[in-house]
Amino acid sequence: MTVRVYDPRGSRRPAKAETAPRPAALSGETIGLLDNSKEQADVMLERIASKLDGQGARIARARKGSFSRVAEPDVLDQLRECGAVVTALGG
Amino acid sequence: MRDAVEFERRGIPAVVLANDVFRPIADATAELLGLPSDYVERAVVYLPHPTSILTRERVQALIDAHWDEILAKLTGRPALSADGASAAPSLEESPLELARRAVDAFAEGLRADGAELVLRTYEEGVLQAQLDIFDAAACEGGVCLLPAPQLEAMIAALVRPALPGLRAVQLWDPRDPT
Repeated sequence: MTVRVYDPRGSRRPAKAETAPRPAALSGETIGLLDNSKEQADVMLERIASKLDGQGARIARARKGSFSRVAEPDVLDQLRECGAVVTALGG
Repeated sequence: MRDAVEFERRGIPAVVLANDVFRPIADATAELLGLPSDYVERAVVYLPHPTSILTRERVQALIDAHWDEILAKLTGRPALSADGASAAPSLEESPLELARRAVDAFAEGLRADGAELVLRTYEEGVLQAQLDIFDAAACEGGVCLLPAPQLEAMIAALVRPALPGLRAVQLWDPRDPT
């Protein structure tokens, strides 16, 4: 019989997270705005949307149910066609 | 930060708006998640804490003031100040002034909880600070404030980038005057 013991502490060395290249310009890009439902995040993102509009960017919006949790997969999917995203508000 | 990592993993670059008192947490989270060491600098735009008490107009003005930085971080270009030069702190500031500027936003958050953080001296790598609780009713005599050791650690984390020679923060806290 084989007994497997799992260590609940997790890995001490995190896997390297991948980062994505940034668009050189925003004109014609769709920029996603993720509201994490924290106070004032909607006001900030609304202002950013109006400024992005001035840059010729299109806007896609999504909102998380709770700022204390990672965005649900269906929320992330709503912004899957975006060239970049802005999230608010951390902390 | 965790949402940003999810987007980056999906090939979508992210810019994170965060309150500046959470700078140490953003740094720790980035390290924990295995992000490149310069990721926070490239992707996070800090806003002065607290933002939740601001009027709608002031929040809009805050975004306006940070728009160049948001735009720069979306496109991966260096941010420019109004005169076209990269923003840099004045070299003429004393160490104590640098330290005060580094904790300015954090001190504003404490002020909202009825406490004034006063940085008194900086000598031989030791920063002496004092907490004055001026409005005991704001958070029941300071119970909602972090304990002194955590405040010292937070102050050290905020000040050290400006004063790399910082060895210790000593906080006199009226909740524990010994």
